[in-house]
Amino acid sequence: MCNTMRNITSNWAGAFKLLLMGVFFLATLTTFAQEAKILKGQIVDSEGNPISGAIVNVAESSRIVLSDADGYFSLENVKVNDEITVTSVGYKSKILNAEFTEDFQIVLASDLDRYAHTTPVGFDRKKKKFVTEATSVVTGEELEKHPITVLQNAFTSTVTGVATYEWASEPGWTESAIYIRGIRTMNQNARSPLVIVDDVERDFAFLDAYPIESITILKDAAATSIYGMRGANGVILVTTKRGEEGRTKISFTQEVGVQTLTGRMETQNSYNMALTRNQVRYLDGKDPVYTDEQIEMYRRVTEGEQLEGMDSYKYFNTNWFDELYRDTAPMSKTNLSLSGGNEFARYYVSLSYLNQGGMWNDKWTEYNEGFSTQHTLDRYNLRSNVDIDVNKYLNVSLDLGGRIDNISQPLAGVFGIVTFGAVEANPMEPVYMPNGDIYASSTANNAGRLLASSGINKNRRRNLYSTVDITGDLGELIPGLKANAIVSFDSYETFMAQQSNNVNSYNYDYTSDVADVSEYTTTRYSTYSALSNPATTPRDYYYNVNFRAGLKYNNTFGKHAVNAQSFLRTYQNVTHGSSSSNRYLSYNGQVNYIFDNRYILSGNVSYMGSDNFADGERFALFPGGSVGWVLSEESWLESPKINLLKLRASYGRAGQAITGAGRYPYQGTYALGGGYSFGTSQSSIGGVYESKAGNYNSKWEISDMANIGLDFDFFNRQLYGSADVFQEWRSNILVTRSTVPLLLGVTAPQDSYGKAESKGFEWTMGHENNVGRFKYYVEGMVSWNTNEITEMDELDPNVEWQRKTGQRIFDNTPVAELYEGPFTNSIGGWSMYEFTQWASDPSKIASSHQDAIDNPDKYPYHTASGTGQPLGTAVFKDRDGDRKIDSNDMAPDGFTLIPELIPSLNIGFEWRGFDARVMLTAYLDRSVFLSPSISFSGWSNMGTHEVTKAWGYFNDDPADPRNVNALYPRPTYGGYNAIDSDRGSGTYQNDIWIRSGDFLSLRNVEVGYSLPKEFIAKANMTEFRVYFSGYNLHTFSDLPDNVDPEKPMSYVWWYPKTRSFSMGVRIGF
Amino acid sequence: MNKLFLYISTALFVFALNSCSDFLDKEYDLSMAEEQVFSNEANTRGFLANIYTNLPDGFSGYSNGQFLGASRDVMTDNAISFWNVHYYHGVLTDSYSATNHPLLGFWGANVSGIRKTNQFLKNANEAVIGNAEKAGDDNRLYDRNMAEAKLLRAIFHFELVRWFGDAPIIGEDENGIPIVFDLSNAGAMNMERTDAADALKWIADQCDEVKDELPFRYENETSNWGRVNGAVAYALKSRALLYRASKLNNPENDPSYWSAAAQAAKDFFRVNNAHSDPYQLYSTGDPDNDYYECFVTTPMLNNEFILCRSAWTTLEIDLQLAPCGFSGAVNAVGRTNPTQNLVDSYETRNGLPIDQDPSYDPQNPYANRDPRLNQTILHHGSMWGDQEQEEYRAVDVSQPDGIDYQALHGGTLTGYYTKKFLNNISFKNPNVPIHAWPVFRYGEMLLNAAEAINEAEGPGAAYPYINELRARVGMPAYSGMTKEVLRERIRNERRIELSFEDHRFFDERRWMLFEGQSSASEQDKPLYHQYYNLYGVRVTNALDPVYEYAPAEMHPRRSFSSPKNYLFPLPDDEVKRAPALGQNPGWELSSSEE
Repeated sequence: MCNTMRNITSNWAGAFKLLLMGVFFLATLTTFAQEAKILKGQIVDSEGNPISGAIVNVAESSRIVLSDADGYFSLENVKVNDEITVTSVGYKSKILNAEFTEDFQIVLASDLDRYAHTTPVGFDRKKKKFVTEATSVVTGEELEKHPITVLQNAFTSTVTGVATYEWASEPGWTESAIYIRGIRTMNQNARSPLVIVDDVERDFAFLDAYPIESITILKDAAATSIYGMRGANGVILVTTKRGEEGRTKISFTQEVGVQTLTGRMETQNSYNMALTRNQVRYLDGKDPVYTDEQIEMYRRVTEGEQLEGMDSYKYFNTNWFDELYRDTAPMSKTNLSLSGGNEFARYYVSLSYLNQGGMWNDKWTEYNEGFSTQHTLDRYNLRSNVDIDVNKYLNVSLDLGGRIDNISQPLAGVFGIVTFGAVEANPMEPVYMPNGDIYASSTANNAGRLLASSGINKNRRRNLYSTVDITGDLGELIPGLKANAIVSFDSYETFMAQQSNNVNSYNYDYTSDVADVSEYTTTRYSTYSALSNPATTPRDYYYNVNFRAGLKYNNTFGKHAVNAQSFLRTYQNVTHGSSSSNRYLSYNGQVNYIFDNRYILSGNVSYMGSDNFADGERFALFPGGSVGWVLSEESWLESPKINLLKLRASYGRAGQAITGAGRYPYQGTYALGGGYSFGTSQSSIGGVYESKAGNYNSKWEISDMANIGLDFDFFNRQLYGSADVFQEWRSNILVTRSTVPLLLGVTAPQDSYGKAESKGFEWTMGHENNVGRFKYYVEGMVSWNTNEITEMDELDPNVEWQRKTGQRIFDNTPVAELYEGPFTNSIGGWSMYEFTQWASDPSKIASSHQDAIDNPDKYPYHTASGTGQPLGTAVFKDRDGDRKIDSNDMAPDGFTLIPELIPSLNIGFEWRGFDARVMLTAYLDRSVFLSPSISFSGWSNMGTHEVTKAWGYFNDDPADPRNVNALYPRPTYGGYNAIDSDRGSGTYQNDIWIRSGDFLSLRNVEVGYSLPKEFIAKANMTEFRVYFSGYNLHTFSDLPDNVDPEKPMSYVWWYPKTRSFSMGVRIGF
Repeated sequence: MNKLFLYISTALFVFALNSCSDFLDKEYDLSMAEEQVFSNEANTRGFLANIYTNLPDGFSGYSNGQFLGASRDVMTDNAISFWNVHYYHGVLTDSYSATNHPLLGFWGANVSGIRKTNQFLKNANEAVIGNAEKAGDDNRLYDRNMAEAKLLRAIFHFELVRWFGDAPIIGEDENGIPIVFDLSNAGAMNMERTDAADALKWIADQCDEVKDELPFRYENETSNWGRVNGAVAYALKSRALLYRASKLNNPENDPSYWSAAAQAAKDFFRVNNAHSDPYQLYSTGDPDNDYYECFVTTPMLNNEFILCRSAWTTLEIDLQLAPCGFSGAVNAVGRTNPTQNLVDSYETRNGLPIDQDPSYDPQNPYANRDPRLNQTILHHGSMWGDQEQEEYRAVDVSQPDGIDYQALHGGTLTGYYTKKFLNNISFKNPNVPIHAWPVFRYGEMLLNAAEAINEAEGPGAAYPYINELRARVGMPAYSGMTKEVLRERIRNERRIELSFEDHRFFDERRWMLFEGQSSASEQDKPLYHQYYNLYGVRVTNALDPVYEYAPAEMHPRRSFSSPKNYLFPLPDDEVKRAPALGQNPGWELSSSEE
């Protein structure tokens, strides 16, 4: 199966051709089966005006014609009783039997009221006009336009109230964190929104965009309370496309593109490195390392001069990033989807293929004969949704989805390759030995060598999603009553095969003065080994079973419309290696009442329990309700100029049971581990220890949220928009209770005690209009939210400004992960020093704490160095005024990495088949950590060019104006390494390195051209569009050049962030 | 048709409700609760084994190269650590506080050990372990295990007293049941600390309770070496009572404390000497090697070691100690740098302090010294390195270009490196050696006895003990001294003999060496009597070296404020949570004070 599919997809063009031939063959076959005539007729609207450009065809056949300017059409080869389908934008599609009469007229009903269309909400659909909860919708068309591989990224600038952050960009592992209405809890494990695909909890990160009909973001608790103790962080509701009765539609998209780096660290060149090292030694009173003559040689080689003789083996200026990366990497996407059906059965089938290459320099990844160590991703996605009406009472749906990812990547981790191969590698060392062999040393690991010897790690990921939905119509029993049951089974597996290899590398004493290359001493650094046989391991596998059964009731009595359902729902996740499956059980009810299309009353309730909590304490009730008033339906306001005006308000409660507290937090837990070896034989006895005390009050979080909103549309979208204001009270947040001393002697479990409050608003306003054939739109959005800890059982801080209660939510994490914790989702930091000035005057430096106290004009004693502050280091604010800079002088400051304020702007137009759009998004009110990306220094190396450009410290003369205008601390000489003083003093938690991460991003520009319908209709096509699209095009910020404000560490420690350009063609039949 | 659907939907609902009634019950549970641990023999044995992981371990620092990575003697006048991120620097400069400092981990580690022992004492089941009379070490195994746990609990309490002074005694409650704190009863944890001297007495009494329950030495050391035994109980009692008699805990100098300490030390030797396989100094008769060999080549087959923290098979310790110029497949960083103060405390071969022996030549300083100098410290010209791999060479710390003065991965601040515990590995092709950390060793027992007996009974009775130790390394025997002179010599002997074994830090403090002396006032004293100023050697001219004695790099002097620095602070948060514990003097934090 797997192989077959690969063969088919790898020969995609062939397969497509075959398919098209089949379709044409069938069409031809029907034509000759029966006597056929020419069908003529006219298409008009409900007022009798002709409709031009409508598509007419025989159902289930691909042949189409368009109506002319007067609405007339003529279609050949039509038989009596053939079903005819007529579609036109802005009108409801119609299916009818062909009539060969003189004035055969087809009347299409207008479909201009977009608010009469339904949109998915939790376990139901509602007409847009009557939605009273806070929601945002992304349509499938919108998603298809983004040339991205990660669906989350499509949310930026398309919806409000959502912030995404791409943690990792590695092909196949690209993942984003997503936050709805901000970070609303101190618990790092309880921040992710719930993802629901076709009413079932499923993973989202690698979902294919093509089969998606829409993504609805449920933001307020009234909307998410139906998800019980899973809904507190908002819900992302994905709905896949389904077939419609009518002609067969085929859509084919092919896209090819390239990825490039969005930025690159500007490491020091050899000349600067030599100068810097000497400078640092000078400032620390040490002799220079390099002579003037050597410096001159480094200058020459850095300026690109080709050195001659032995000098060419001695002086180098290697840019290790050139060895590490290539300029562009290919990517491509292909999709074929078919849909159609008749009154008994409907289907939608989609098949996608994605190929993404890695950014590593292929000179090295192709170094070994017969295999490549490059990153590549091949992803196959299949989706098939089938609906069958078994009889008039019974409808059965079968949805199947499958995904296969084949990821090939270096076995060596990205961190090692990037950090040791380039970031920390010395530019003064060569890439090759004099004889052409690979050079490598402990101070220049050589990115090329690491890539060539990185081995291959193949990961195969397989997902299967399946759902059977049975709906019975009990309308004859009670009008409007239906019974419904759904069973879904999803499985997931990752399988890994690893192969290692090595290459020969050597180094030589390149600095020594020798007369001939043969006199160098060569040392072997690594030894060749052939690619090993694959070692295979199943990495991870699990399956989920979802079940839902219940009754639905939907009826209208005069002006009263009632829609209600009650159902039982179970969820079970069985994970390999886990003690017991994770299970949820809930009893749910929903009621929706609408009076006279004007007043809406809506309620949800879920009574949900989780197996993770103690018997008798595992259920809770989560109710939510909302009201709405559609003013535009009031007779006193009714006007064609007011398409929609709606006020709405909601209040509800939702929960979050994934708290990270582990399994069965109520029971004390003992674990195996911590053994000890006894005897002169040192035989080990496996240990047993108490890993955690139990706590019955370790529970789920509770979110109570109120929301008020307004939706409006005037003059047919010449002015439209919506606004929401919310306030959330989060309680039961797991916190570490301050009352438990270490004397307990074992890790104290966390307690559901903390509270936080969030508030914010979302606002959208747009304008759409036509000027003749020029159709354009402008849409602006703003999302803002902020939060505050109101209770965390905090110990009294030693200084009042360190109190966390009352501050926004930061995570207290090690500084290395302070602002970029991809693996822990940690965000921000509590404690920062505040820069005041540089220590630039030697006479003002205190020699001891007492000296600082006695002489208030001196800089405070610098604790870390113990002896006095080196010139050119930062003097931080002495908050407590004790003339000593220590941890008491730190205070919470700044923002987190996740923006609190996100404005965005979308502009687009269509004109004579051309279309274009531009998306701009700004991430504001956020902080980033810069030190690694600009001051990072490996063994003996000196950070980036940026940091040296900006030191300002060239001498010890305090009169030198450069000394007070510096941007960064002066590096100081420690051991053989020169390190910037801040790092040396053990802290860089200060506002020199933690800076505003505000930026404006040109996320997406897309330009397209569609061939005129009249033209392509002759080839039975309904769409032919070519387009060009760019993603992550440019960012504007105050940060230094080459530092990506969104992800400053991405070129230092991880796989780099990329931008992409693609060209595509989309054909519809 | 209607009925059919009614049936189907009803059936569905009934099915759903039925199947869901027990849907949330635990299927099976691999996690263990208390009863699964103590009802199972292997789990009970494992639980006891795990308690041993809480034993004090001077090597644990070396495995955290970034922030520790050196001997804890770098917090004393014996050495300083090279790397400026090491947490130890804060102790030397008195620039750390009671807030969340990593070195405060001794509090949590030992109270955690105490909880484990009490859980074991409370829950271990006689029927599960078995308590039959048997030949050999497993005779009445349940009783033996209980005695082990009790002795371990005493060791953890002793560690608390060592670092923090007054200590909470978490033993048995009024009903005689071992105290295991309950999460929900935070009030019970808000307990007062027991005065250090009384806590040490309690520890000694605990030792008395178990010292004859346990075999003095296990018969089957192949399996049981490393377990606490009767000898450990005698040794701990000796040490605890010595600490109790010392100035820090005995400000009135109560002579009965000294005689109790002397008696405890004598008791150890009385029982030991009567044992068929007594502990004794490791000696092959080679005074220039035995002391060094004792710590590296035979740590597990050594009659000198009474209790070790389980052996470590690791290169880490060797890489952290060896001179930084040694490299190859692995690289040395040399981060424990002994001071000149320590080097000068080694006597000449004549048994005299260097300033009292005219034969001592500061320009040939390492000749004719106490053989332990060359077995403890690597200095300029020391021969080091693996001979088979051709790494054998003289250590070169000459400035500015000596390969061991400063190389890529480290350097020395004093001109010295530490040789004790350092295996002579090859750096090109390393074999991973075994290290065992001595918690109690016979050499310490001799010094405990000498110190206590000299104070309680005078020099005459003390000489045999200290001279036994000196004889192993061929140093002349002491005789004819006053109590005061011998006290100085015993303290010097203890500094040398027990260097880098986590004794100096506590000895400096229990003797209260910092009183009546300051950085300025001690300038004219011999370096080995200077406790504030730290010195190193500056060597120039590698082949014909010139020695210049100068203040050490980075830390030319220590800060010490009395009484604050005599004890570590309790973690600040702990005092906030359990205020009855009280903070040690000088370490109180409050916003008003700051």
